[in-house]
Amino acid sequence: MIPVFDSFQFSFDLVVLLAILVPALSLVRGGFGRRALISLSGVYLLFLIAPRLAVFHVLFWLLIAAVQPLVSRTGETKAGPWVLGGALLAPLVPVVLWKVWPVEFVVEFNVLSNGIIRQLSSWLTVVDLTAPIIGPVGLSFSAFRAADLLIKSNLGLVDRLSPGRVLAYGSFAPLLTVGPIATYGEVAKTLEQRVPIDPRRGVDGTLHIVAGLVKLWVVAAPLAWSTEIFAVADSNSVPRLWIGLIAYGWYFYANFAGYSDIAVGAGRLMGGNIQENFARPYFQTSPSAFWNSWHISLTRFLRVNVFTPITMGRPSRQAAAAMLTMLLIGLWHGVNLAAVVFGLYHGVSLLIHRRVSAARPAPADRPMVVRVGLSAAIFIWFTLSLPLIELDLGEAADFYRALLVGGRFT
Amino acid sequence: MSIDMTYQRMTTAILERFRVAGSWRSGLRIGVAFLVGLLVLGRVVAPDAPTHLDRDTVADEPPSDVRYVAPTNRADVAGFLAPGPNDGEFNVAWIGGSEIKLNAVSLPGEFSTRVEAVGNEQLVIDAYSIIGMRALDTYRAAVAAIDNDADALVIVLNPTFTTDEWSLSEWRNLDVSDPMALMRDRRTVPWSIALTSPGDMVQGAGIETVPLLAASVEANRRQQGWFDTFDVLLPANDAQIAATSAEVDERLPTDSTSFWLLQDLDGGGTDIALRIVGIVDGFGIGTGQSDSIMNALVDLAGDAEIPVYLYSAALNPTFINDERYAPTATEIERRWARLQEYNTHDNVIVVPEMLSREFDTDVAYFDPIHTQTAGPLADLLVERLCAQWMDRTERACR
Repeated sequence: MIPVFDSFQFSFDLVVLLAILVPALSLVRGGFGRRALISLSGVYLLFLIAPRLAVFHVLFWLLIAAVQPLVSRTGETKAGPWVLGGALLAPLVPVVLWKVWPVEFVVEFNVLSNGIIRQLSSWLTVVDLTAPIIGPVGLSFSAFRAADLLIKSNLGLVDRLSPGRVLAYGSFAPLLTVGPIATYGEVAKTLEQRVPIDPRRGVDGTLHIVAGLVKLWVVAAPLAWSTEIFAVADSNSVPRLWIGLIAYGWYFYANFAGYSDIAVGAGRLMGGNIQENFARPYFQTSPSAFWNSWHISLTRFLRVNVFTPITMGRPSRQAAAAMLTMLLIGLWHGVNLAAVVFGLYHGVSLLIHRRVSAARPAPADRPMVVRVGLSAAIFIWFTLSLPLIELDLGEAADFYRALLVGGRFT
Repeated sequence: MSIDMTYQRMTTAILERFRVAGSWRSGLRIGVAFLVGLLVLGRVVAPDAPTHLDRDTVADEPPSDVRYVAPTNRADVAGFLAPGPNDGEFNVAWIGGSEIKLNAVSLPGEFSTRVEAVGNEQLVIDAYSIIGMRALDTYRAAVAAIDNDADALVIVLNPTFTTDEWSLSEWRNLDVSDPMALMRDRRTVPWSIALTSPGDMVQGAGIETVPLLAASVEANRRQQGWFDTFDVLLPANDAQIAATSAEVDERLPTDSTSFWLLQDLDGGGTDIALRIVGIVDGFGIGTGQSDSIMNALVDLAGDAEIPVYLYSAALNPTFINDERYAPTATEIERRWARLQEYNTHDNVIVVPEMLSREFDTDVAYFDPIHTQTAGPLADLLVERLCAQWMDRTERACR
């Protein structure tokens, strides 16, 4: 069992901190002061989870800050791709190691990070020893944000940045633990100058936070029991398992989207221009529309950095590019066979949908009942794949069997 | 309609149709109205405030009237929910971890069967006891007991949780229940900053002012019951449990103490005697923080001006007489001797020697710390505590 941390506590602390942070950011004009404030607030929130996490985070982003200028400077040279490739190892190697050897990585992550703290301060060490053992919270999101920054720097879309700017981007508090994978461009403005918090921005940010809390409290919390479904599948009948899985599908969405909404709202209140991460995915009527509205920042990252470079505008390459993109989305959840099957399942679904819709384009004015039916089908289609990111392949196979014939001990 | 457009329309409606939140002043008014609404709503719909009786504790054996006022799980944000002393009672707050209350074995319970009254006042014991009570938790409990106007304190510190590495709280719900407790002494302020988050402060302040939050223990229980009506999943049955043992990786125990011991003892973390030695020896960090917390505890007790008896948990004589572990026992007593030296308060007694050196050595233990019966230690403490109470209050035990 990999230790987890309390996402709600982090988001609650963030929202409370906004009461100080937002007025402060509306007063501080200078870029240096703003970046210091943003960095310190993010590191403080990580420190509250565990000091070792804060230390790891700072070292991670300082490493990115060290290689970013090099990537930026060599972007248009022949060595550019090689430098970029080498630089990308910095953010991606830790996350790959974590996904491949989760237990070993978590143990070493805690021991090594605590070891660094022991060199810094005995008081911090004592505080750190009392913190719960944790996984590298937010590492996947940090790694993809860092990779995005380096790729854009290589392409000349982001200038050479000072270490303070990179650290402030990395430490932008709303993005630290549950995403979204916001680009540097989404926060760049507030790192440089005062962004007036006008009424429109204030109301918009607050509405996002309220929407997030509603998703968490009104939808996710009452359905939290459904997270037990994989542990108790063998004790339950077919109808119970189906009801539990449907509940889990809603819980999974509301929990993730709720935290994303809070992050988007908090980020906008802090002067960022954080884009939506979910856009009513369960109300979509096709697989491609679903993936354009689910964890949008991840699919956007992969579309820009994987799908588009592979296709290069050639339709003949689209199938392979789509399969690879979905495979990577699967691997985002864990490097194992079940995640590969998850990617294949969704990749094949996209290809089938593409072929069918090319042969028989959907009419624009479909009746409501058809649209509702299609949305329900999309929900079931996606929810059925969730066991693949929660279980290993053998366990997932057992779960699917139980969905058909009931648990072994019913 | 895109999700962006939905938010834009809602924002426009709020700003232009309802004409609110168009300025900072308007936003502030809305915030104040929200808080007032919350307060009013809290007073109108708050469920009954929880009491210490809501805590599910294992009944004492032999049965006793001890009141258990501490949270029994880490989700209980009501903290140390003392029932309050009444006139005509001699209210004793007995603070300690599993060494005073483990399942049916209760040291205060045994004590209460031996002493009925102090002077003319009936003896009422409130036990502030949580599993794994560390020095900082003990400090918080002492703050709560003194605030509850206890007439006397009995404080037991488990020696395994008084070292630098392990003297701090892991009970985060206590941060919420009384966020200001660690702000009272400058020595514990750094821990307040490190352990109490902004969210804890707000939630704690809410508990003080909004009955709905104050009743959160009860509310959580009811809410859970209501949510459970949706839960159609049956729990794992015996056959499933037998077939699929829980997959807990030995390298990642669920509590941080076990994890760090595992690293330090190189796999010996499951042997309880070795665990105790490992915990007491610590990792050689030596910041003096645990001494600081214990000193703050002694001063807190001293300033309360009520009789306070402070002693170390009575380790198993088999353990302390074993040459492999004897140095650890000696080290514990050396720390307590230092604490005794620090104590200058007449109303506080610090006992440097382990009491297990003085009572019946035939007492059976479950392990190096926990006795299978609390009777012999209770006998010894009747003698000691009654003498102190007589000395300080001129009232005799009956």
